[in-house]
Amino acid sequence: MPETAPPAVEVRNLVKVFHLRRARGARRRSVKSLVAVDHVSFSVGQGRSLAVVGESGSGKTTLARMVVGLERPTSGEIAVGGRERRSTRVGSRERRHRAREVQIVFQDPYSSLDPRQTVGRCIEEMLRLHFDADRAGRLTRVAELLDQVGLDERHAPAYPRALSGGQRQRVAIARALACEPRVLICDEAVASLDVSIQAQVLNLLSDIRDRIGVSYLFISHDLAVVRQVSDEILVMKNGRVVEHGPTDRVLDEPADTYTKLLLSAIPRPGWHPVAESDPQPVAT
Amino acid sequence: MTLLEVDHLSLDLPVDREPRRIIHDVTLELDDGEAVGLVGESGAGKSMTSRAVIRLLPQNARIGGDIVFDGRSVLAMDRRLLATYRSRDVAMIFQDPKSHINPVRTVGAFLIEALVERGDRRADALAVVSELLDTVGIREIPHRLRQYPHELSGGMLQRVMIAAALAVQPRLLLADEPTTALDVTTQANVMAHLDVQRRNRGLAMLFVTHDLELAASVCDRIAVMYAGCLVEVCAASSIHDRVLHPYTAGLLASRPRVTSRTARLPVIPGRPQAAYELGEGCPFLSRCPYALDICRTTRPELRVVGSSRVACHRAEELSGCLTDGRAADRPGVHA
Repeated sequence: MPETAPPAVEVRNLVKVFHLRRARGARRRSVKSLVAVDHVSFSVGQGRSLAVVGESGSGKTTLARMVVGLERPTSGEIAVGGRERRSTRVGSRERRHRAREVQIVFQDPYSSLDPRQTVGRCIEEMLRLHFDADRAGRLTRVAELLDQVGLDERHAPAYPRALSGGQRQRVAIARALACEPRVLICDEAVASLDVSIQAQVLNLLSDIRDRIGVSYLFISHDLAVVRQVSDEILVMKNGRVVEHGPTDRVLDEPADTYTKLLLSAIPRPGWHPVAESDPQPVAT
Repeated sequence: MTLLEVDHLSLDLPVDREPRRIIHDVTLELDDGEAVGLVGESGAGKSMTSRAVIRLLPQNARIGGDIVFDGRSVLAMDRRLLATYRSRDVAMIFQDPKSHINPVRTVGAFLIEALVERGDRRADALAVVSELLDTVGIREIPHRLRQYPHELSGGMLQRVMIAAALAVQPRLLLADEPTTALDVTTQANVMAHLDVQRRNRGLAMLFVTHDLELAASVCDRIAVMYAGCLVEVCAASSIHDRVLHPYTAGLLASRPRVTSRTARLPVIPGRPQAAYELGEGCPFLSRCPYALDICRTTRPELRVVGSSRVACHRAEELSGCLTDGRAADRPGVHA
C-alpha cells in the first residue's frame, strides 16, 4: 500500500452532546446536557483494526453510531477514505454512498435481523440496493457471502428464528459485508455469544480481514477479546480518551490508572476479586 | 456434612404438549459452607438446576430424582414447609436486580420485608439491614433506604440484593449469574463482597455462571454442565492443571486471554447441543475430537477419576493430554 493512501476512517475532535429535558416537576423547561463524546480523535488505516474499550456510559457506542451515520455529531469531523462527511442532513443518494463505505454489526443478533425475512432475502436486499447485478448474479453473490461467514446455501431459505445466536451473528456479518464496505464496525458483536461460538466468530473476523482487507472499528468492554482482534486500543471513560496506543503496549504496560483498573478486574487464573466501599460522602 | 443433595435429578418441560428433556440425571452434593460453581453455556440446564433446588419451576415441569436439603426431601415438602424452606433456609440472588426488586417500594421496604414477615419488629429489622448494607460497602445508608430502586446503579442494586439474601440468615445461597449484567470493575467489587460475606458466615453457595474463570476465583469446586448433563466436577484450584473432560478443555482453550494473543483461537467445532437433541451416546459426541465407537452407543456415567469426577469413557487415557491451552502463559513452563 502506498504511503499516501488515506486512512479508512479519520475522526477529529468529535463531540456529541445530548440534551436531556426534565420531564415533570420542573418549573421552567430546564435543560441538562450530557457530553457523551468529548473531543475524540483517531484514525484507522486501511486493513487495520482499532478497538474502542470502556465501560457502559463511556460513550463508545455513541462514537460508533456517529461514524456509521446513525447520530449526527455536535461538532468535529469524520472522513472516510479521505472523503469528508458533512454533518448536515443528507439525501438518500449520499446515504446510500455512505452505506457502501461503513457498515455495522450490532450486539444482539436477535433484534438486528428482520424476523419475517429469510437469510437469503436479507442479504439480497443489500445487493439490490447497492449493485446493478441481475437476480442470478445476486444469488451467486449471496452464496459466496454465506460461504465467507461459514454458512452455506442451505441457510438461505431459513428464517432467523431457525438459527442459533452464532449463526444469526454470521448472517449479520454477511449482510454487512454484502456492500463491500471499507470499514466494518462491530459494536459488542461477540458479547452475547457463548464462549465456544465467540471463538469461532473471532476467528472468522480475522479471516475476513486477511482476505478482503476491511478495516475494523471494534467496540468492546472485553479486553481479552480486544487483545485478540485489534492492532490499536483507545480507552474511553466518561466520553474522553484516557489512553490510546498499540494493543500490546496498552495491555502489557498500561499508563493510565483507569486502564490498570479495567485490567485488574478481569477474572483469570489466580485472580481474586477485591472489595471496595462506595466513596464516603464529602462533608460540606 | 452434606447440606444439599441433588440426586439423579431429571426435568421435562412440555413444548407443544410433547415433553422435552431439559436436565438429564444430574447428581451433585454441596457440603455445609462449600461453594460450588455450576458452569456451562446457554441452554446447558444450569439455571434450571438451581431453580429446581427451591422448586421455582414452571408448573407443568416434570421432575425426576430427588433434592434433599439437610436430610429432608424438597420435592416432598407441602406448601407450608416449602414456604419456610424458601424463606429461612435458602436465598436466591438473580441476574437482574431491577426486575426482581419491586420498583414502587423503597429499598428499605424491600430489605425488611422478609424479616417483618417472619415476625421481627420494624425497627429491629431496619437495624439488621442497615448493618448488612454497611458490610457490602454501601454508604449514606439512611438515605439509601428511602430511595427507590431506579435511583441506584446496577452494581449498588445487586449489593442490595445480596444484603436482602443475607438478612434472613440462610444456610444456602443460590446465585444465578449475579454479575453478568455488570461492568467488569463493578463485577469484581460485587463478587468480592459476596465472597467475603459468604465466607464470614460459612454459607454454602451454588454459583451459576457461564464464566469459568470467575467461578474458579470464588468457588471450592466447579461443576461443568453440557446439554443438560453434568460432565465434570473438580476442585476449582485444579481446573487449569488437571482438566479431564474434552468439553471443559475446549471451553478453557477457546476463551481469548488478556495476557497474550494467539494467531488462531482453538475452537470447539459445531454449536452447543440442546438437552432434548441428545441420542444414545455421549452428549458431547458431535463436537468431540476424541470420540470412539463406545461414545456413540453408551452414555458415559459420571465417575471418579483421580480427585475429580468426569463423564467420559476415555478419561484415564486422555488424562494429561488435554490442556487448557495456557501452558505457554505460565512462568517456568516451556512448550
